[in-house]
Amino acid sequence: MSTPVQMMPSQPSKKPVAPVQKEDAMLLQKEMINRNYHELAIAHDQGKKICATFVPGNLNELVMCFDLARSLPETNALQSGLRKKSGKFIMDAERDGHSEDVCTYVKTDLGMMLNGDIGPTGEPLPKPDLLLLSYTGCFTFMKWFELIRQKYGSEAVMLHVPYQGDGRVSKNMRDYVVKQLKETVIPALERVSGVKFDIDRLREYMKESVKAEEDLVHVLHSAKHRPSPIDGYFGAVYYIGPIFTAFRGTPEATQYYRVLRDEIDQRVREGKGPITPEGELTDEKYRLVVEGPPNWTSFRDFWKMFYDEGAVVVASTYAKVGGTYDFGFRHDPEHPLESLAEYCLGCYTNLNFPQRIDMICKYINEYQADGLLINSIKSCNSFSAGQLLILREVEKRTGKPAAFIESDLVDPRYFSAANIKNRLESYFQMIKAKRAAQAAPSATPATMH
Amino acid sequence: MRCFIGIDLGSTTTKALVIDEQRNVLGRGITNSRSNYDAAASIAKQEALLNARFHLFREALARSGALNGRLGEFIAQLERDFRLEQFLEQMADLESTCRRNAEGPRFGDAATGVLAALEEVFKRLRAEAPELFAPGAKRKSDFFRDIAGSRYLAIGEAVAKEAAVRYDMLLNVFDRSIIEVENRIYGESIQPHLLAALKRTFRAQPDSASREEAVRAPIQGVLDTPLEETYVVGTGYGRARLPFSKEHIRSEILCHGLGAHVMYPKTATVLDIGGQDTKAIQIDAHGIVESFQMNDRCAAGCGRYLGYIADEMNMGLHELGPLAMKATKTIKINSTCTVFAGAELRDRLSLGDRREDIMAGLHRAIVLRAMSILARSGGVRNEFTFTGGVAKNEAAVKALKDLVKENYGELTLNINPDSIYTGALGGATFAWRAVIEEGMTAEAKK
Amino acid sequence: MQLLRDDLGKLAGKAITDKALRASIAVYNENRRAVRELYAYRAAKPWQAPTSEVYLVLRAGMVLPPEAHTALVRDYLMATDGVERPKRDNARIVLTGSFCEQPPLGLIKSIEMAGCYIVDDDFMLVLRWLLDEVATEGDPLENLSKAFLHHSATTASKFEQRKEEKGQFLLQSAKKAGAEGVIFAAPSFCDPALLERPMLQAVLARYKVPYTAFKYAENTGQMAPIREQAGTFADSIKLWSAA
Repeated sequence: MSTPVQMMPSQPSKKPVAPVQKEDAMLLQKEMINRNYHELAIAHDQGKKICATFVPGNLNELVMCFDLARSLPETNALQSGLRKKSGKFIMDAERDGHSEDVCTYVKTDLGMMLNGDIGPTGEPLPKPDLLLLSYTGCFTFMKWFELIRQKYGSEAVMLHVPYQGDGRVSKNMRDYVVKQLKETVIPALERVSGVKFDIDRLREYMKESVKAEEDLVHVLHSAKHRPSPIDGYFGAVYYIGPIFTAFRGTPEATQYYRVLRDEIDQRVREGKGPITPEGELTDEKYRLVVEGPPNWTSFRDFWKMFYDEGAVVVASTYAKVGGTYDFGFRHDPEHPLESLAEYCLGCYTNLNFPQRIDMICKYINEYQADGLLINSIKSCNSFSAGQLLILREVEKRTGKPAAFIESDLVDPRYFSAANIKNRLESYFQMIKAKRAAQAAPSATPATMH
Repeated sequence: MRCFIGIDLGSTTTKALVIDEQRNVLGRGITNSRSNYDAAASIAKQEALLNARFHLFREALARSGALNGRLGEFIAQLERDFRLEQFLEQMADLESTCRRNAEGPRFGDAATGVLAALEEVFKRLRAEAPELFAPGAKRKSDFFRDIAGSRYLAIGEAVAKEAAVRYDMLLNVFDRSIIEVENRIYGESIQPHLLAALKRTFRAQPDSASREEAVRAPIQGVLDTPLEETYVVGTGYGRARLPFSKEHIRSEILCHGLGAHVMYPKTATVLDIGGQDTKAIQIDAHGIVESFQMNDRCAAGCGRYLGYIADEMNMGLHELGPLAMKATKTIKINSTCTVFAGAELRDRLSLGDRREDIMAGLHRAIVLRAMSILARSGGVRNEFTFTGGVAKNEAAVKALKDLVKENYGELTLNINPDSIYTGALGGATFAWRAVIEEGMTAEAKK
Repeated sequence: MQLLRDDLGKLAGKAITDKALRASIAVYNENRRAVRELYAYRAAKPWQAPTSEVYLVLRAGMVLPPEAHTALVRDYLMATDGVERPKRDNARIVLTGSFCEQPPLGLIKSIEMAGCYIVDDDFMLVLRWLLDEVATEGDPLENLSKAFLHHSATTASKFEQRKEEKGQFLLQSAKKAGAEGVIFAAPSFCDPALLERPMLQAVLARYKVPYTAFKYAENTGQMAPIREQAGTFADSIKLWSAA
């Protein structure tokens, strides 16, 4: 089903590449993202202010109440990665004094600013007027905004979201977050924007959010089908784009998720696999759960390694960094501020190890996965710390094999295609051999003369 | 007879192994890896098939009883003579290639001088060749490139001085020619070489000559038996470049796991320290891989590390282990980087530490890295098999034994002098399974 | 903190009383006082209290009961003050970034061998986390909370509420200890220390305080490059600082 859509002229590509397969929803979300970059580019000219914040704990509905344009530095960094600009930005940031060891999203962002604030689409990406530091489990976020604040004089307001150390949210924690919203965050937003806070406006946005959340969860759950109509990792990063960034709570996002849902339902009816840049996956051989962020600079090549083996990712943890909607969370317009607190506390990055392990085991079982793949990111301590422990524990509990590969977010120097392909191939062959053994227990006595 | 072959393209060496229908190992072949993967694979395979022929000679002669009591000596001599014949053929090839490369405008007026010098160099090389293959002759390496190279360099230097020809020109000619020559495959020459070698052997061992017909017949019988390459499976680094379809390729993790299982059916954990990567593999009772971890990003703790140290110390690779075994204490080497380990080595020497003790420390450093990868892959379980080139190093084995005991208690540690062929053995076994168990047929060669 | 107190009480088999807490606060106040004395002594006479020794005295505090440690610190001070030790013409520096993963002793020795007096550092911040005396009257939990919130050390793992404050703690400690420069020594992959570093360096640059930086690991074995770097830095201070 095609929906007529106002299209932005497509960006000219630098290198002729095999035509990429796209669906309607895909084009919709690309258009939304480009439009947002355009809005950011002209925001100051239109007398609008820009608020930067993070995906985990992005209070999009709240920020919209103040007519602020929204910039998500993480997505800016990954967009730069996808468009092969991040390598230079990182090296410039390192030349400016940053360590090789630290988060490459940060360096890409800082490098972009050193290079005259041109955003991923080639349009200007002005420095934000307010840094809304939603500190939800990733320590690096804190330093990121401190760095921008110090170098460029931007104002930062901190929302401290307590870590779920004990694996649960207490009333104390929720109240603490709500208190900060009331006493620090909202007053700062009011002051910077000049707009008075209207809680009913927030409620309206949240009502809209819930619709999108329902549809997103429906789409994520579709991967339980065999074959899965979606890729829950590579494909999912496109699906979560609108809801994790500047669009949750807007009618455009609601429309996008409706279109997406219909497309996916159609694929389920037709028993089709996911569309990938290389074409439709017609022969689903392996179903995987993936933990860890993707690599952005070799995104297509990385996806192709899975496609070539007939491997589909049925669920991923990365697709939950902006909210664990598939575990039941919905924004609640009746209790808006408490709901915002609840939302932040539940983002994947804010969960403790037992919760992360439980989530992965649940995915493996509910989505009938053959095993777990961990993509360990060199510069991301938040995700990487403890991944081997997660791997061992998941193997123990589910009895399914797990594999471990290493790459990076947006530093092209840390993606070794040959090594990754080698490990992936070995892993798939391992699963295949296990299946064969389970089907017909080997009767060949092994001896060597 | 039907043969099943596994080819393992490693970073340093390429190995091949041949098994028969009863899964007996017939032959093993090894050559140095090089940029032309196809050539390396073919040469290794050829060596393995050759080795298989010698194995069959031995069996046939033993059955015939023609050389009772002297069989071992005879076969050893025959092999040496065969190698000599091979060497001479390749040397002749090298000579004509060098001459060709020396002609033309490259050396200008000096060309005639260079050509004359080449003639002299090769004359001397041919003359001394038999010594290289005499009984008890020690060589740093068995590969043509290494043997020919070191002798050419030595003789070339002397001749250059005598003939007042520039040494660097002679070197230049060699460098350009050796690449061509080492990638040539002399497949058609096996029979004639063997027969020529047989003549030499009879001359060297007159007792056997008296029974010439009784000896010749079984050998000819083996030569006349075609060794059918029923199915080949490739593995290792360059496997994607092999002219095999996907069906004929297996990951080295699986091949190593299966190979280790075939050698030691009770093996649960396999550690392979290769030239530039390290693999820790957990396998189940059927030889199927359960989990694995690889260090493929950095050569620290791999064979290269030892190679680098050997260069730094101006020693042969095979001399490092024995030196380390003479240590009276182990010096702690902290560097995780191969290159910096060299710096630390020099540091230590200047501080007055003994070479033996430093060597022991370096070996322990390698094994510590391996222990870390083993832990990440799921620990060390009984039985534990150690494979790969580094497994031939007694100091590495000692360090491993000690560390495993410290961390995991008493376990059975399996080490096999042929463990460098583990991957190829796994590949050959996969090849066998493909035909015998799965009823597949080899695809036509592209 | 109340939750922690309850859980610890369960482990101990009896509830932790206010009285017990107040007594404990007093003991630790004394320990912190002794450590402050040690640091002040070292800053005044670094040749009398080499950091390779001071470090070991502090590490002992990680395994000794606080009363015993306090005594140890004071014993060391007395012992070393009683012996005249040779003075050297070393550069006075602050070492920062080593607050979590600890450097090997060899690294500290190397820096001193290279010509530096470490006159302040952030090793084992836990012993110097609370900057002032914590009140021993009144509600002990409330006193401790206030101390942690408002009178505790500044370090990379904290968020600086006001951007003007960034780097001031380091600057003040350098001034107070009479330091001539700062050495940043952070463990590899330490996000807090490494991300913080450029901000601190910017502040130091503004106030014209020389600095240099390197990384280490717990099992660093390569001391030669560190000696070279620290040595060159010490020399540069001697040669080029406004005398």
